[in-house]
Amino acid sequence: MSGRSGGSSNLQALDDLIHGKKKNSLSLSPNDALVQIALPLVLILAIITRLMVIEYTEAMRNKGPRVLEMWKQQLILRMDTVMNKWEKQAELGAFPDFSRVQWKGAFPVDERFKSLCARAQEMDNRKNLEDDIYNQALAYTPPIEDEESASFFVPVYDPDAKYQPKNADKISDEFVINEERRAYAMRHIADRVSKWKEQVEGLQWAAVAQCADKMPLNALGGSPDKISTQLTRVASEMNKRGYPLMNSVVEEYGKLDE
Amino acid sequence: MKNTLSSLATCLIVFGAINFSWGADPKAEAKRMLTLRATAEKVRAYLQESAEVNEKQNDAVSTMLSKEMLKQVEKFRSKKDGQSPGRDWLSGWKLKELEKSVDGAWEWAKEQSPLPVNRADVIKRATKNWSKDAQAKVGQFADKSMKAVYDKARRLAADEQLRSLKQKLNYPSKDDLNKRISGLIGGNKNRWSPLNSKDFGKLDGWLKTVVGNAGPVFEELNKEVAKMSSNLRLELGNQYQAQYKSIQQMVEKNGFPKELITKEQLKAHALNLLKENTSENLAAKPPRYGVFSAMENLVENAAAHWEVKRMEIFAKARSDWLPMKDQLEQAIRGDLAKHAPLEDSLNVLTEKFLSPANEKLASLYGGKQWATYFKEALAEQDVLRKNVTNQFRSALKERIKPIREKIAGEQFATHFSMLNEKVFPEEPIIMYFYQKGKKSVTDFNELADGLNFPAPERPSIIEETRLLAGDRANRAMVPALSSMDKQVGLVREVEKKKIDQLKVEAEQGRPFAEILREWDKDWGTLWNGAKQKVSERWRSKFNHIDKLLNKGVRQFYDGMQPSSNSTPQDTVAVKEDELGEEQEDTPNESVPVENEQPEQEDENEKSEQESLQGMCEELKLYIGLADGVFAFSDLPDGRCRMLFGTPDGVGAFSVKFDPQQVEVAANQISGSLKKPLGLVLDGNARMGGNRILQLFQGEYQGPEIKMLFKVSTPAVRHQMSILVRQQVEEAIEAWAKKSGRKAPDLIWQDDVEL
Repeated sequence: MSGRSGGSSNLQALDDLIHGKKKNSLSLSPNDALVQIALPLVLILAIITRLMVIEYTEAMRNKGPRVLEMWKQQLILRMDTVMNKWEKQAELGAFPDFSRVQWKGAFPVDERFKSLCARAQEMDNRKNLEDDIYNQALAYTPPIEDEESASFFVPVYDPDAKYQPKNADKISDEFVINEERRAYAMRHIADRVSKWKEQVEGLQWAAVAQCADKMPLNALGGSPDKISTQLTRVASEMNKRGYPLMNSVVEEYGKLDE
Repeated sequence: MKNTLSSLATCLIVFGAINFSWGADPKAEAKRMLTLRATAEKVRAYLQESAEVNEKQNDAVSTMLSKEMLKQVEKFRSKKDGQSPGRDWLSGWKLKELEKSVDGAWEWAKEQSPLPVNRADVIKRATKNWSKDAQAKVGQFADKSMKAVYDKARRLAADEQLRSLKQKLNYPSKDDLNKRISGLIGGNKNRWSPLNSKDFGKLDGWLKTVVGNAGPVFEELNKEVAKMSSNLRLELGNQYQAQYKSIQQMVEKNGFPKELITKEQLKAHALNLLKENTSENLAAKPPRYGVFSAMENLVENAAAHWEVKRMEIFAKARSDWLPMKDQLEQAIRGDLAKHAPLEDSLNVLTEKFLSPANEKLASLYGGKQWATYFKEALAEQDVLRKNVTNQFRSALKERIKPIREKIAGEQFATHFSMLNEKVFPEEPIIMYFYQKGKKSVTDFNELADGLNFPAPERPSIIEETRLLAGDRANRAMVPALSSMDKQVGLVREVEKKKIDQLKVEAEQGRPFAEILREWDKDWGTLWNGAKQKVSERWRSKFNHIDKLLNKGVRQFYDGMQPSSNSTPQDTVAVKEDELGEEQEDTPNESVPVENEQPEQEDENEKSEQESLQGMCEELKLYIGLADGVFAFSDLPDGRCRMLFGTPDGVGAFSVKFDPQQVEVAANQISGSLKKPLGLVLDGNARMGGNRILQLFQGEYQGPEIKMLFKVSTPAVRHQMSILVRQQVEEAIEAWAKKSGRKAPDLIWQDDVEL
């Protein structure tokens, strides 16, 4: 019925056009106008806004001169190589979201997640991790067999760093890392580590939620007034199974010994 | 429309996706989950905590339960019956507490969690079946805590109710109380005796409810409430008694002033006194109720009682309202027949003189002012009229006593002076009463008959004269009849003793006169031994004794004489015309005569006449003993003879039979009995009514016939009595059917001498 009436309406519109008649633009009811025009319009605006935000974020990320200074290129190249390696070793890339974690019953059964949790412990002392990454980056030498890659690496020297190259005096000033340049390098590392931490915390909180949901209640009741107790209990159970949680997670409600 | 819906759905999906990507916070979710766990464990702890009430909790719960009990006292009145609702309440309370705890935990959870926490999720996480576990917990709590909580709560509630009852102690209103006290008097509104403490005890049930005024009370307080109500009851009883005491003298002992005569005067006087002595203060605690309406009622009833009683006392003390003696004598002498019985005389005199006497009494007692009032009272008030009438009759009886005694003396002197003579009674008079079986004169008409006192004059002989004549007659008649009885008894003794000898002597042909002399001598010997026991005047032999001896010897002597020429008839009957009965159409049927011998008719007829004469004489021996007699005796030829008839000779006949053949003999007797028994029954039926009316004053029980089975032979056994009795019963039934009369009851009297 509606199809037939719709067809008839189209024919009428065509007829009106041929005979030059004015079309009545206000044929919709207010309700139809709201549903058929306003809501799709709002929806489209929301999508556009979101896309703009994403574009802006990406633009901000890529902001900077297109051609970096040499010391920067070397530092970034070295730091990214070390951090990529860390990421790879920690299996961080295997868990873009929590659904990738293998689970059985109340607890995870996932070696890679186990590895991630263990490696993520390093983030409990970020300063050490970041210094360690920085020093590893300074010390990084590409493998001999990869000649092509090796040609990109130029030795850099930071007189205040833990790592000291053998031929530091031969390194040009352009590749000597002063305080300002070191700060830049440390910011770069910290940004990346923050992302790691955020990702791992997200995974671990999700794991805590799932464990808390699936674990049986304490038969004796414990001290139900403290949610921290519940978190400690979950953390303890996960730890027992080889999934240590980061301090930032475990100590959400205060340090354990408090 | 379809487009609209699809657009809307797309919108929602896109929004949801955006929000999901923005809002998915694992930390918040983890915190929510941890909070949920903590809250669930908290809730579980509530279910697991001790089910027993602690002391502190007990105080609070008991207080709450006691308040509940006070709200619903009816439910909790009995300690035992209140347990069930008490337990229900306790369970309900505990469930609410549990729910409250869960709510508290949930509120806490909402505060702790960054994401919303659902109450149902908390409960679901805490226990699989919340309602079941909660009910179990509640039930466990109620079971364990019931005794401690319930007992304490009852104590608290009872204490509170008692305190409240004491504070709000109520007293019944005057109207209610008056109704209740009047109710104690019961249906008898004329009651004027006071109520006692036991009567007031009946108010206890009502007073309990009034005093409490809170409806039901806990059973623990029953005694307390009863005590409160009993105190009030005692107080009411005391007030009542105090009121009664002030008028007791009047009510009980006629303590009214003399000048007050009507009940209104008496009542007003007593009520005035009562009100003077009774204070009223309804506001006091306990209230003074003033004069109770029951007391006013009592005064009214007492006044009515004493109005009557005082008039009776007056009437008793005075005689001037009664008729004069000469008036009474004139009335009695005016119609002696009507005044013959004392009771009739009193009735006649009362009827004649009561009305004017009452009028006079009313006038004397009430004076000019109240004469009419009391005249009407005497006519209308049943009690007064009855009592005054009784008093009048009583006084009248005393007053006419000398008058009637005087008349009795006169009548006795006129008509019965012979009773005072020494010669009274002469032997014919004695015989007259003896033959009626009398031992004394018991009836005036009987005496008059014996003295041949003219019947027309008898009604005018008054009761006192009759008693006097009877008394005088019996003074001589009783010993005379006693002597006659003893002398006749000795004749029977001689007969028994000499009968065998007579049989032998008769066969030997000893002369009659000689035998008679011997019998007379033997009688004389016996009498000499017995006469000491009789009055001296009556020790000489009556002429009647000579006749009896003569008759006895003659009877036996003739019966035992051998008669060779004549064939003895087995059955001999008295002719009915001789007996004064109507002639039957077929006399031969009713008077069976066996072995009839027409050739010797004249001779037999003569012998028969003699025999019948003898039978009649013999039957006279049983006068007064029965309506019919079966007399059995031996015959010289070894057979027996049965003589039947009435003592006055009606239907007399004799049958001879072989005693060895009992049934044949019984049939023989039966055949012979039919007609004569009919005559006896006819005669008895005709005479019965008159006889009964004359002799008995008691209730008429219906016709009776008394048969005497007199056996003077060892040959006749008891079986014969039974058989004959059956025959007689059948004959009576047949007679009743035929005559259309009611069959008389048969009174069968066995008298076997041997």
